[in-house]
Amino acid sequence: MNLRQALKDYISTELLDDAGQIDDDENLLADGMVDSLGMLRLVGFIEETYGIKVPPEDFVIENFRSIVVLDAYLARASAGPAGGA
Amino acid sequence: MTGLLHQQVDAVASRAPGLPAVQYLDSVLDYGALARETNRLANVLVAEGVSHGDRVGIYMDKSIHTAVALYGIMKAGAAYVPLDPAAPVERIAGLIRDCAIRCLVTSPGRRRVLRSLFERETGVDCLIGVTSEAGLPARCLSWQEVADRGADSAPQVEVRPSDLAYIIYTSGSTGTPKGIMHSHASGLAFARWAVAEYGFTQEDRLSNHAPLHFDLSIMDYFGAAVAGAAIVIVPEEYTKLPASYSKLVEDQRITVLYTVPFALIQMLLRGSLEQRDMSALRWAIFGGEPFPPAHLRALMERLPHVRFDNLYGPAEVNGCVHHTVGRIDDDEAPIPIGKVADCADILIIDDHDAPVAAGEIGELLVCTPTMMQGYWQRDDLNALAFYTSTGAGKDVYYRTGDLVAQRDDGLLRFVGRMDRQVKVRGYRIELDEIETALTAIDVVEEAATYTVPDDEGSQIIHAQVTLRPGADATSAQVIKRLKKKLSWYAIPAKLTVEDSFPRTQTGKIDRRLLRTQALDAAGRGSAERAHSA
Repeated sequence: MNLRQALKDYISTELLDDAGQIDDDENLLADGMVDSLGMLRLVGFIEETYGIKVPPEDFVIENFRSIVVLDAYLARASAGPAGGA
Repeated sequence: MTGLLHQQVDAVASRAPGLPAVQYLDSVLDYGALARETNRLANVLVAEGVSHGDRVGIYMDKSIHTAVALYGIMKAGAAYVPLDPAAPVERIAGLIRDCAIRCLVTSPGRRRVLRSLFERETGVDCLIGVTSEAGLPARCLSWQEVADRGADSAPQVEVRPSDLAYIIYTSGSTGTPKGIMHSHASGLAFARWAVAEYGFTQEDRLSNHAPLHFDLSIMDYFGAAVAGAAIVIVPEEYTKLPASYSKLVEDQRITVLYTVPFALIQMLLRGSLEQRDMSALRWAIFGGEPFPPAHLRALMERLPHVRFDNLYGPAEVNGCVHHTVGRIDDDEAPIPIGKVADCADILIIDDHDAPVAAGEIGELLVCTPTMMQGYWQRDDLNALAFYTSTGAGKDVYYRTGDLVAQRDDGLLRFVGRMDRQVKVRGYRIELDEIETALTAIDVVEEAATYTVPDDEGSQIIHAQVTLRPGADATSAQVIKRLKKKLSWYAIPAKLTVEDSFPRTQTGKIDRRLLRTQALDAAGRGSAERAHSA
C-alpha cells in the first residue's frame, strides 16, 4: 500500500472514526476534522511507522493541512536529511 | 451612556475610527469599519424580524465576520449564542431548540452540516453569511447582501445594561447542556476589570485563541473593545499546530495571549520558540485548568520578558481571582489561583454554609458584578446555584463547586471539585453527562467514566461500559455513536467493553478502584499517591 493511501486510512479510521473517505485536498485542520491531539497522534504514527522524524519546525500548516501536502512533505523528508549526521 | 458591550466599539469608532479593531490573517477592520459593518448587520437582523430579547446563533468558522456577528446581534437588541462548529449536529439542534433561535449567522464551510440540521425540526428560518445558491430551506443573506441592504447607522433599538447579551452553553450533569446567561452589565464589568488590572491600551494586540463558545473569548473581544485595542483572531488551523501558532504570534506582533495551559505547553514543546521573535508579547494569561509548574517554569525561562498570569473563574462569574506568577522554585507546588478581584467578594464555606477556619478547605462562593444572571430557563438549577448572605446587604453569591483554601500569604489555592466536573484541555465536562449519554445508547447497560493524567499537563477521560444481555458491540462502535451526541472534547480517549464492574459495599460501581487500576497500568499509581500524600 502506498504512503498516501496509508495516511488516508489512518486518518479516517483512527482520527475521524470512519466518518467517510477523505479527499486528498480536504482541509484536515478545519473545524470538526482532526483536533490538536489528533495531529500529535498523526505525527507519532508517521514517526513510528515510517521512521521519519518530524522536527517541531516542520510540524506546521504548510506540511499538514491536507493529504496532498503531507505526502509531498514526507517525500522530501525521507529523500534525505537536509543536514546533520 | 456607555453601559453596553457594543457601545464600546462605537465609542472608539467616534474618537479614533482608524484604529485597528479586528484582524484575521490579512483582513483587517478598523473601528470605523467595524461600527459600520455591525450597524448594517443589526439593521438586516431587525428587518428579518429579530427583536429585543431574541437569541441569535453564531454557528460559523472563525473569520473576520465573527466580530461583526457578535456586535451586530447585540446592536439589534438580541443576545448572541455561540454554537461549537465542531459539535455534532444533534447537539447543535438541541441548543437551537433550547433557546428558540430562529436566525443563525453562519459561514459557507458549515453548509454540509446545515443541510443535515434542516432535516431536523429546529425553527431556524434565516441564515446570514451564506448565499441562497446553497439551496438551504431558509432565507439566506450573504455578507455582500448585508452590506448592500443594511443602513450604515445603528437601528433604533433600546437596550439596557441589564438586558441579556449572550448565552454560553456548558456541560450539564443530567445530560442536558445548560446556558449561562450574561447581561451587558456583567460582561462589561469583567472587561473593564481586565483592562484596568492588566493595563491594556490601544497599543495592545490581544489574541483570540479560544473559540467563541469558550468563555475565554469574552476577555479577548470585550477587553479589546474597552481598551480600543486590536483583537487578532487565531484561525482554527493555527490552534492545532504549535509552530504555526507561534509564527502567527510573531508575525502579527501579538502582545497579549489568553489561552489554556495546554496551548502554551504545546508552544513550549513544539513551537520552535528558539526561532521566534516574541519581543512584542508582554502578557501570557492562562485559565481553565491548573498549569503544571515545571512546564510553566520552562516557558517563563524561555520568555523572560513576558508576565504570566493565572486567571481563575468559572464562566458563571467570568474571571474573579488571579495571580501573576513570580519565580517558581518548587516544581511540585501547584500555582495558586491568587487573590480576589477588587470588585468581588468571596466566602469559603463548609457543608453547612458556615465559614471555614482560616486556612481550612471549603467551597468557594463569589459575589461579583461580573456574575451571570442565571441558567437559561432552568429554575431548578438556579435554585441551587446561588447563596444569599444573611448580612444586611443580602448579597447574592455564586456557588462555584470548587474547593479552595487560603494560604498564609492570603493567596487562594485550588484543591479540587465537590462534584464530578472535570477539565480537559480547559474544557469543562461533567462526567455524569458522558455516562448519561453512554447509557442512552441501546446496547449499553452501565457506564463508568473517570480521568487520568496525560503527559501534556492535562487530563484524559477513560470510560468502561457493560453491554445489555445479548447485545454485541465493539468499543469503536460505542465511541462512534457517542460522537453523535457529545462535543469532541467530551469523547473518552479510551473506552473498553467489560463483562462486569467492581462494586462498592453499597453496590455502586467502584469508579475510584477503576481509576486506580488505570493509573497502576500506566505506571503512575504510586507517583500520584506519593504526590497527594
